[in-house]
Amino acid sequence: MRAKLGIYRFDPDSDEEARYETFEIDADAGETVLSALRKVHEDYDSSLSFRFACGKVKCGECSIMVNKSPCLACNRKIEPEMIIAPLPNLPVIKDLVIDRNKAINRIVELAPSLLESKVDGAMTLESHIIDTYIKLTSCFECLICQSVCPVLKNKPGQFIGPLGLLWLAQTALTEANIGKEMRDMAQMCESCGMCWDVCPSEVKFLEDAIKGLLNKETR
Amino acid sequence: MEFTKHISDILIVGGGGAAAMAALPPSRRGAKVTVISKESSFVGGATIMSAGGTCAVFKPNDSPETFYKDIMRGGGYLNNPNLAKLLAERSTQAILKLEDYGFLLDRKSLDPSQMIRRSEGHSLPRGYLDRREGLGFCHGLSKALIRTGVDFRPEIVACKLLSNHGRVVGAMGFSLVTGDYLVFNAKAVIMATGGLGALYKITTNSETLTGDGYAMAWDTGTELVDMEMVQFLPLAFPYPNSRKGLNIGMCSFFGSETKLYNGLGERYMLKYDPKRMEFATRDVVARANFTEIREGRGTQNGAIVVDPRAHDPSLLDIYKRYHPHIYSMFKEVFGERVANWQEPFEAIPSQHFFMGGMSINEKCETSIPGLFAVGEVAGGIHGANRLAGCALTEIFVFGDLLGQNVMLWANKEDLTPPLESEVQEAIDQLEEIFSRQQGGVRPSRIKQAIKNIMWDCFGPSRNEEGMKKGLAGLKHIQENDVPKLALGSHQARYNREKMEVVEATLMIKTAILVATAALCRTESRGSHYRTDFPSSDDKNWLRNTVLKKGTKGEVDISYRRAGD
Repeated sequence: MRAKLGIYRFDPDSDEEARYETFEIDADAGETVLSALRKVHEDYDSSLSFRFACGKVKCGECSIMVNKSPCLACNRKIEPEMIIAPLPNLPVIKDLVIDRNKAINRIVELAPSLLESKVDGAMTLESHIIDTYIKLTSCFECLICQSVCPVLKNKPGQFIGPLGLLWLAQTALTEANIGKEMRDMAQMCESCGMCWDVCPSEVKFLEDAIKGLLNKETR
Repeated sequence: MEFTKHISDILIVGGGGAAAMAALPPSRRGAKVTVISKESSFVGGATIMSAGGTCAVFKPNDSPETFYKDIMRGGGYLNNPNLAKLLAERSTQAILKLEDYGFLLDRKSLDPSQMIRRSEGHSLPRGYLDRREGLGFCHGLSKALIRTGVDFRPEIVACKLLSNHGRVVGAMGFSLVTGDYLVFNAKAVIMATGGLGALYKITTNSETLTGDGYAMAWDTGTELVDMEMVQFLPLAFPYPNSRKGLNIGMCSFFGSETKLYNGLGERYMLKYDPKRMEFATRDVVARANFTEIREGRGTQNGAIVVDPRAHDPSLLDIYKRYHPHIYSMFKEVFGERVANWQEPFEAIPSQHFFMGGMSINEKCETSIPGLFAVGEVAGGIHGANRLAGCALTEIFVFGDLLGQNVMLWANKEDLTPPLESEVQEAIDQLEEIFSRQQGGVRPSRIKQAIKNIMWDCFGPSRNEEGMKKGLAGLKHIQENDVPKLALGSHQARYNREKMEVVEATLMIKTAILVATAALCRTESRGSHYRTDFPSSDDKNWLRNTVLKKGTKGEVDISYRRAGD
């Protein structure tokens, strides 16, 4: 089929503002957006920047917005008309490439205690806790959740976002209750559910994590 | 051309699990450890693609001696016995130690009574299966890395190792984001760049696994060993593009009544292994699948057919519990009925692992002072064929071993700077390619051509005619296409094709090394199978193929008696 792609272009080195450029390509039915982007890059405009690593839905690096919904480019099927943009509300390096490390470091800076390991090899854990922990640590950090969070959008310097809440839930699993500071941070979440709706994982760990966290006792 | 210099105690090239394991001990002790990776996440690489199974001695009636014997037998006795012993002896401790880094293992799977399956080649059940697959290790380790303050540089494309007075002192690369050139200088340089799956048309590996490390090591004169040993898996998803090549599992996964058919409805395993049929080792079944498809007996989609219907219902239950990701991939690709093993499905063989690589000793030292290697890029541990689950064990054992020892080595050394002339020459050469006008050969074309040749000629079933043709084809690419490499566009910022140019120049070198080694070995052993020499020849071939760059840049071939 013929596919028309409107792709977001922005090079901070040379552009004042972003624009959309349209490309028309021949695509096979069932082809992915990633493969379409590669075709555009190869045959039409190799100045197009986009990121991917594995290409096989394992690493989470190729997350983008397609027709206003976030997804992994390697897993999204192509449609006859598509608007392709970088994930919203995250710093853009160029075109479809966002600054992942800046986004992750922001969480670490805001809440360094999130990284403190409370897990100890000698701990005995009940079976259901292990199961939940395994579920909660199945995130591949594609940052899609961070990009759609309305609280994070409005308070980027104060909120850790859904990914931060997930990390908090992971560490909190092995604690009976969580520190007040973290509790306050968690309560900034408005439970709108946008993040867990867009999570590309088939396991609803994000929803479980956040709901579980908001019910946690404070120290 | 300008560049920025960056000094550290230890430089690690690569961003997968081996790099992480090697980075953690010295970083925790206050050493300045810089890790550079083509990818934007750490930990990624090959580790994030893995199915999550790692083997060790867990059962009370098992022992490192038994494990060692299995490793050697699986490797066709080409393994370096000292390395195999280390792997066997330290396997359990290395995995359990992971929890010291602050993340929980999948404890239920660690219970020896839960060790559900004996993988082929293992005398006893040894597999710890993490339900998060490779991700569990990756994210657990990445938090530990942030805690220790490892200096991780994402999206840096390493192009060349730098040497001075016969030792490796660093690496030259460039930033994908800015296009700026960087020179890294360190007391110890660790290569942890993973395998070479992306050299093959169909692979379980990530697209970034272009075998860069083998070629960069080659260029410095490092010894490479067992470069002919490429592991293939028999059953991978044949479609769609987003899943093609990803591992499904062995026939035993679906139980002892699983059957394989070609496009003509024949149970072809009768021709390849009448005694074991579908339950022959993975290399035999991979070879059979490859041959059936190649000789025109595949299905319309160029695949073979797996029939799992006569399975034991309890196995289905176990698979859904312990392999949730595979179950969901099945559902997505083939539908609910196939996911519940109620219908046959198509599959193809796929490249998976590389046993060969940089020759190392028990301290992960290579043949060049200052240069260490760990993980899939290192060779000699698994010999001619790797046992299931031992790739992750390898990175935990040797990653930790190297991490513990590399500081001892580095503390005794002064920092030697790179040669200014070598740096300038390397940068100028790259700049020359990058500034070529449009109209040359795009790197994607070269990469695709390499993938096709490697799959056709250096796959699970080889022969002299095919390999000679393949090697000639690769040399033609090297002589005619590589010198004409040119970018489609020249912008500085996030020009991904610059990375592909570097990958293409490294891939062709790695491919020629694999091809050369494969042509040398006139026998079949482990994963190296040839129709013109189908049996193993212990009398003449219990020896490792060693490759090294000659004085004029040619491939110097020598042999080392196995077991030395």
